[in-house]
Amino acid sequence: MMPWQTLIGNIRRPPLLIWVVGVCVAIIALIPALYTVIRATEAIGDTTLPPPQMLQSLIINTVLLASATACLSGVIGMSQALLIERTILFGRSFWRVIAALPLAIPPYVLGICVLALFRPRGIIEKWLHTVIAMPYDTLPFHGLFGVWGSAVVLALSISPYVYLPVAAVLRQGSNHLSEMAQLSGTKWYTQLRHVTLPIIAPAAGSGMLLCMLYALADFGVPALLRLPTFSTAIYGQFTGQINRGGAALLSLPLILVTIILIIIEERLAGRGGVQINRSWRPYLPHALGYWQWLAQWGLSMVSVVAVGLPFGMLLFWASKAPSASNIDWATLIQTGARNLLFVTMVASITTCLAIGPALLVRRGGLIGIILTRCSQAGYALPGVVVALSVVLVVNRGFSLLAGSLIPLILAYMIRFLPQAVQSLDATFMQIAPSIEEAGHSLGRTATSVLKRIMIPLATPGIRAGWALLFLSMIKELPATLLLRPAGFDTLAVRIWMPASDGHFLEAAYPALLLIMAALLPLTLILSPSQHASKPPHEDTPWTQS
Amino acid sequence: MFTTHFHVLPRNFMLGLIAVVLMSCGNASTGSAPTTSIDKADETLVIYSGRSEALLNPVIAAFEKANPTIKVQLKSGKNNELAAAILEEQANPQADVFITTDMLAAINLAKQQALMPYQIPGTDAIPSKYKSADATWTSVTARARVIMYNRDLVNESDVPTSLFELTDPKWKGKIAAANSSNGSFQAQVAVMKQLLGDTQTTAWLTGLVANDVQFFGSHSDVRKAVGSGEFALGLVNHYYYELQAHEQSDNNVGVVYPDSKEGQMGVILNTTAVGIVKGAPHPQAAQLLNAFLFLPETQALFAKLNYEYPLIPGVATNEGLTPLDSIKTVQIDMQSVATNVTDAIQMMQAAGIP
Repeated sequence: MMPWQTLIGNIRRPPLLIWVVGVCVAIIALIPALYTVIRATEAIGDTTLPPPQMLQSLIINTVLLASATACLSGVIGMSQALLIERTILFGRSFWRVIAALPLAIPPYVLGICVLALFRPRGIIEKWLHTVIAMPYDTLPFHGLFGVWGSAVVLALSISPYVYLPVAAVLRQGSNHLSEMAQLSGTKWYTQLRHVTLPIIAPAAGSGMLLCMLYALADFGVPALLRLPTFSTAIYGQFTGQINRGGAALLSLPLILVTIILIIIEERLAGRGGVQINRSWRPYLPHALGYWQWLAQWGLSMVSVVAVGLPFGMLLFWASKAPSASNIDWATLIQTGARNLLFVTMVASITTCLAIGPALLVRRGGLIGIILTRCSQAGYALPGVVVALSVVLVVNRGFSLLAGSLIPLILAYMIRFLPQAVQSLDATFMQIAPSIEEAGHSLGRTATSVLKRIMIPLATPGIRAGWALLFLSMIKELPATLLLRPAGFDTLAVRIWMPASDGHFLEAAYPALLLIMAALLPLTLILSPSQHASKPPHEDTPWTQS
Repeated sequence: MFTTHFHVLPRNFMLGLIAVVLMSCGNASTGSAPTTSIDKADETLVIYSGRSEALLNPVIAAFEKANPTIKVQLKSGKNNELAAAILEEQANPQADVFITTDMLAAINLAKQQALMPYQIPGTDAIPSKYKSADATWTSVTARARVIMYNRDLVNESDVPTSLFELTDPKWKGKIAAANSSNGSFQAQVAVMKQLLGDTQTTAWLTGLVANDVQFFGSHSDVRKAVGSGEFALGLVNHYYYELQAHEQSDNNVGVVYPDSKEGQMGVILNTTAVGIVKGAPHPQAAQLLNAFLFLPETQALFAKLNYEYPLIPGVATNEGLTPLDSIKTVQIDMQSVATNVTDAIQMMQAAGIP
């Protein structure tokens, strides 16, 4: 291979536009992260940090929360996937949808509901007190405010990040391995341990790491449930004082931990995978016998808490909201419509931009890989840190933009580019390079190949990736809180502002609107083609195997 | 309260859209900033407010009703978050009016030349200690720092009558307060630093932390937690006590104006304040709002709905409220206290207040 090929990849004519987009994306994504680090080192001398014992408890809380959330969502997501895809279950298609539904409910909305119900002197304790005269402080309601309270709420909300990929692997997996195991007379648990778990391990592992990253970055749930973490502490520094140094300095450890996790994630993502071969047969689900009812009960309980509880509470509050005249419907609908429009626009731009890095990484050249890695910087920057870094960069060189919509758009793009690049990358991976080469050898230009072959083939994947972006963006809270221009409140902000002051009734209608808006893209992710039990693209001869 | 305005796309949004389209064409559009000269009339008014939304919304609604051509765009946050934003936006100001829960934030912003002088009609009678000499900011209402308590949990005779009793171990785990990003708390510590010096103030702050005080993101949280009985005592501004006492449930709460006896330092007073941002894009609307805040009707609204102390003579305080002139208050020059704020925040953080 020629040296220049190691640098720019192995396809003869890389489309210039893709290079330009790739470089731009990398710059946009990387500079804020780098500048935050620079600003933090500048601040080391002149900023008072919280005392050591407080920093220590921040570190412990944050790490415990992230690990506990990852483990819990792993257990929930994997059990759901195994029960739904591998056992005989009443109403399987129903459960497939229900298990993914928490994606439409922001974790902080679940947090608000759990807080109102389970806080000391909350709805449940008060009810027990009045109805059965149970004295206060007998049940451990204060436990809500530990690491476990936040971890359970987060895990219930984000377990679809484990459930969806694991279920997909299980649906595509062939029965022949299990048949062999059965022929050799193994029990179901041996089979589970030696056949099924190894198959789902990579998907489950990277799903759990995603949950871990999510928990590290999350602001809403620990802020509601009084758990001091790095995200809440940085938010406090950001809003509490004019000097940005403290916030930048506190961001450093969080960035560091996140980078380590991403490296682990990439190691895991590279491994495993399901072999598809000619002996592929659909899986025969296990009969659980009477245990089926226990499984049904377990699945129901998880969904009742993760989906039924917030939905029920919101409807209850909405019905209790003093009177309809008290709600400014015009403003609320206007906020919702503008929010949808904004998120649609930013998700679309981000998806288009992500095509650049996603195609470059496919070419395998060193520069392409570096550019792609740079565009992943947003993973290392939780919402509060993205907001901070955008503000820092705007202040340093682009002060005309301060307070406009541009910093908010940039923050959304930086924060969610990695997600877009990753789903596009996975989509393009399924298109064999030979089909692209064929286009080139027939004399088409690189742009034409992109337009006529790559994009059309990848359309379903692009659509699903876009939907996932839309979902993440419409739920985004901390960066929006910090960067929104006046008069540009999103639904998430309209939920947060009253709810963080304890006015739950006013949060109910925006929350219901947000959930409804999130259900639309969710149907794109759960489209019927994803449910069919068949190997991926068995009818497309050009896919890689 | 129904508004008929239906500007689905505010100006900012359209500009953003255009800029993004430019950017996605490959131009990192660093130079094409949103310009401010699009509005012919001042039909929008951008308010940056550090106040709790629920306390300001009725006044904004009344203002919009009185000026139907003006649509208010509100950004609520913490005082310092918004003050920082105003400073950062100086090259291209976005905000017209800054409303703060704490006059020190206004003083410090005025010192940095970020506010524009405006002699508000009807404010002559406001004492000079509550407004700036150059008319860059003016106090709107006054508030006292108080201790509220839950009557189910604490006997009236046991309630602390001094802030310094809050560090007594017998209250361990029973006190709620706002956190170090709260402007009113920051201002209180800045006053204490001025009156008592660093050592005593730091000792008090570390005492609070050692007493497992729960520090909340907002005073609304504090009052609700005290009202429900989750905490026995709460350190709040006086009207949070009043708001809780007038709730339909969880309202069995009492209040102490601390340190108001002979020989004690006095109750710490502070004011909410308003100023017009220098270079405000809609100066006429900003002046209209400033004047509106000091109309007797508006001051009465603050007094009646929020139980704040109005600063315009002739406007009655809400009945049941301890009259301001009957309380012994801290006598201190707030201009000199204002220089303490940064140090006060650092002291709070160093003591371990989140």
